Amino acid sequence: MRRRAERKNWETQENHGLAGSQNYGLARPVQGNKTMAWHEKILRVDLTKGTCQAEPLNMEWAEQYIGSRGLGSKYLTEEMDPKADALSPGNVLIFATGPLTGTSAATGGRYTVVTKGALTNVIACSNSGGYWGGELRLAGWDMILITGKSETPVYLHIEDDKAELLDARDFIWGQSVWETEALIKERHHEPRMRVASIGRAGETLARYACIVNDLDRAAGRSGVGTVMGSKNLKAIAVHGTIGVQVKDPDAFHEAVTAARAKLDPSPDRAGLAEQGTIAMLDITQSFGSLPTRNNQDVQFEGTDKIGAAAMVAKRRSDGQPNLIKNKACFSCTIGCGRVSKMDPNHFAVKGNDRYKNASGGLEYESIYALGPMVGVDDIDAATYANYICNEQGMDPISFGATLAAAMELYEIGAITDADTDGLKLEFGSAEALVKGVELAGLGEGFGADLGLGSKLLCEKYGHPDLAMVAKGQEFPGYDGRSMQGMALAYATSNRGACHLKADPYGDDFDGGPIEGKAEIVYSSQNAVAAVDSSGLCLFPMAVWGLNDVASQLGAACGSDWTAERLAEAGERIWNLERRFNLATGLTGKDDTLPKRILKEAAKSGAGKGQVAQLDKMLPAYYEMRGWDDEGVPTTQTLQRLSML
Amino acid sequence: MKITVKMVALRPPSPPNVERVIDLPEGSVVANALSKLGLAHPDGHATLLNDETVPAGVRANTPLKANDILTVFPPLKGG
Repeated sequence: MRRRAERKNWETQENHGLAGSQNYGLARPVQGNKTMAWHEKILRVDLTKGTCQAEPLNMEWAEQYIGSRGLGSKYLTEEMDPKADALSPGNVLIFATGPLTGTSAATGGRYTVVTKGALTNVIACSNSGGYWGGELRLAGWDMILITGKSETPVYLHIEDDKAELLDARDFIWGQSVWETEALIKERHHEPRMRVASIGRAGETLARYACIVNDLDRAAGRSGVGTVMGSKNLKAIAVHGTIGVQVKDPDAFHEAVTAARAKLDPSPDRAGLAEQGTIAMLDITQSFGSLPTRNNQDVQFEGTDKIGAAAMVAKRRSDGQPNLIKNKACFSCTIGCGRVSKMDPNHFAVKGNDRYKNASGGLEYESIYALGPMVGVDDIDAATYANYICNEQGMDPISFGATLAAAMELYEIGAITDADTDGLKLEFGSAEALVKGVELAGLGEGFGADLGLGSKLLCEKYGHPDLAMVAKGQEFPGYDGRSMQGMALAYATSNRGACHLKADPYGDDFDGGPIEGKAEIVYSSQNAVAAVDSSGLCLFPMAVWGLNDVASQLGAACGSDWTAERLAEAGERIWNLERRFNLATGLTGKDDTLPKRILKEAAKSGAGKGQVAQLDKMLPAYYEMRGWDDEGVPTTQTLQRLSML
Repeated sequence: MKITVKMVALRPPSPPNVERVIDLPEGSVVANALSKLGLAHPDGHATLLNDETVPAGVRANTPLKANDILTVFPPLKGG
C-alpha cells in the first residue's frame, strides 16, 4: 500500500499610457541581472488614473515565493486590504508568470491570475495554459499588476515594452471572447497577437466568470473574470519579440532535455495525449466518486455515452467523431487539449453555423459538470455548453454545479416555473442544460440567478445546504465520501474546493488509510504550490519529482533551487495564502464541507456507506501544518518559514 | 475458477463496461489475476474487488473466489 504513496513522493522525483486612443511608449526594460530568466519587470496599470508604468520586480520576494502563483500572492498581500470587496476598485488583479514561463522547459507556458475571488471572497489563484503567458514573457514582462477601476470599458494593448489602455466601447465591450480576439487581431493587424479576455459573463458579473486566452484556455476558477469585469477591463492583448534569456543556457538545455527524456516516452504522457483528461470519467464512475445529480449519487448510468470512448466513436448522423484531434499549449510535449466538432444536426446548433466549427472540446472537469452533475448523457449538449462557457467566459465546473443545485431546488419545489420563465430544470434535461448555459452566458432571465453561483443561489431560495461548495467554490468532479483525501483537500484549499491544489489521487484510489491523508494532502499542497509558481503545468508531475523542476529552475535563474527548497517555498506560499484568507475574516470553521458530504452516506461504489471523515483528518492536518486549533499559523511556523 | 475483469481507462479507449472473463486456479489471489492480464506495470494500477478497494500492499494476500469482479485502472490525476 505504501509503495504507491512512495511513487507519488514529489521530492524524489516610466512612461505611461492613458485611457483612450493615445499611445505612450514605455521605457526600455528595467535593466537588472539580465542573465537570468526573469526580466525583472512589472507592468503596473492604474485603471482609475489610466496609467501604465514599468517598475522593477522584487527579486527578494522572487527568491522566497518563486513566481507566478506564489509571487503574485505576495504582491497581492502587500498591495490590497484583504477586507476590500472583491468587486470594488480596491481589489487588485495580477497576471503573474513564473521564471520558466516562456522558456523551452516542457509545459513552460503557464501563468496565474491572482486576486480576491468574486465567487469566494478569499484569495484566488487561477492558472491557465495556452500561449498568452509565454507571449507576455516574450514581450519582456514578468507580471501585470492592475489596480483601481476604469470609468469606461478599456483594453490593455502590449507590444513589447509599449503598453497602452485603449477604448473598448463600441468595439469589443459587449462582445464574446471569440469575437473579442478576432476584432483585436484585426484592428492591430497582428494575427500573432495573444488575447486574454472576458466574455459577456464577466461583463454582467456572473460570479464564476473566467478569463479566457487563446479562445479556449482559461484562468477558470473563483471568479477572476468577474473581478476583471468589475474593473471595466475587457481584454489584455500581447505581442512580444524580445524573448526570454536563461542564466546558463547549456545547463538549462541539459536540464530540459533530461526532464523531457523522462516525460516524453512515459505512458502517462501518451495517455493524456491520446485520451485527454476525460479518461478519468470511467475511473470515477467505476470507483463511485463521480458527483451525480448534485452529489445525490456517486455513479452515473450514462457515462458510456459521454466518456473517452464516446468522444472517438463515429456518429450515426454524419459518420464523424466528436473528437477531431488533440492540441498542446506553449512548449508542451503532452498535448492533453481536445478539439471537437459537434453533430451538425444536434438541436443546440441548428441554425447557428459557428458552433459547427472545430473548437475546444470536453475535458474531465467539464464533462463531469455538464454531464453527470446535471444528469445529462448527451455529449453534444455538453460539448455545446462547454463552447458557450468558452465563448462567454464562464467556468464550466461552477456553471454546471450551479445548474445542478438549481435542478435540485426545482425538484423539491423551491424553484418554480415562475422563477425560470417556464424552463423545466429537470435533471437529465439536455434542453435545460443548453438553455441554461445560454441564459447564464448572457446574464439574462433566470441566467442572472444561475450566475450567482451555487452558494448564493441556494441561500436565495432557502436551502443553503444544497450548495456543493467549499469556501463558496463548487466541487470539481470527485466525491469526498469515497475519496477521503480529496475531501480534506477540498476543505482546506485556500481558494475553495479544488482538485488541483493537492494530489491525493493515488492514495485515495488505492484505499489508503484515513490516518495517512493529512500528510499526503499537506506535502502535495506544498509541492503543487511550488510547481504552480514555477510557470510549469502540473501534468508532468505524473513522472517528474520536484528535483526535476529544481534542476530546470536553477539553470534558468542561477539560484540554488533544490527539491527541499521548493517544498519549503511551497509551504511558505500556502501559509501566505492562508494568512490573506484569515485577514479577510475567514476562520477554521470555513474549512468544512456541505452537510450532504459530512452526513449522508454514499449510496454505491467503493465508498458505499461512508461520509467524509473530516473530523478525523482536519486536526492532524492542522498539527502537521503547524497551525493552532483554530487553523491559524503559529508564531513558530511563521518563524520557521521566515515569514515574520 | 472464472472471474470477471473490467479494464477501465486503459489505452486505447474502450467502452467503460467492457468485461472479460479469465480463468484462474483455485486459491488464486488478486496479484495472480493482475499478472495474467499482461500489464507492463501491474503495481502501477489501482484495483477494486467487487467494488471494494484492494490496496497494492495486500493484493498478494487477497483471495479470489469464483464470479468475483475485479476492476483495474491507472491512478490518473485530475485536470
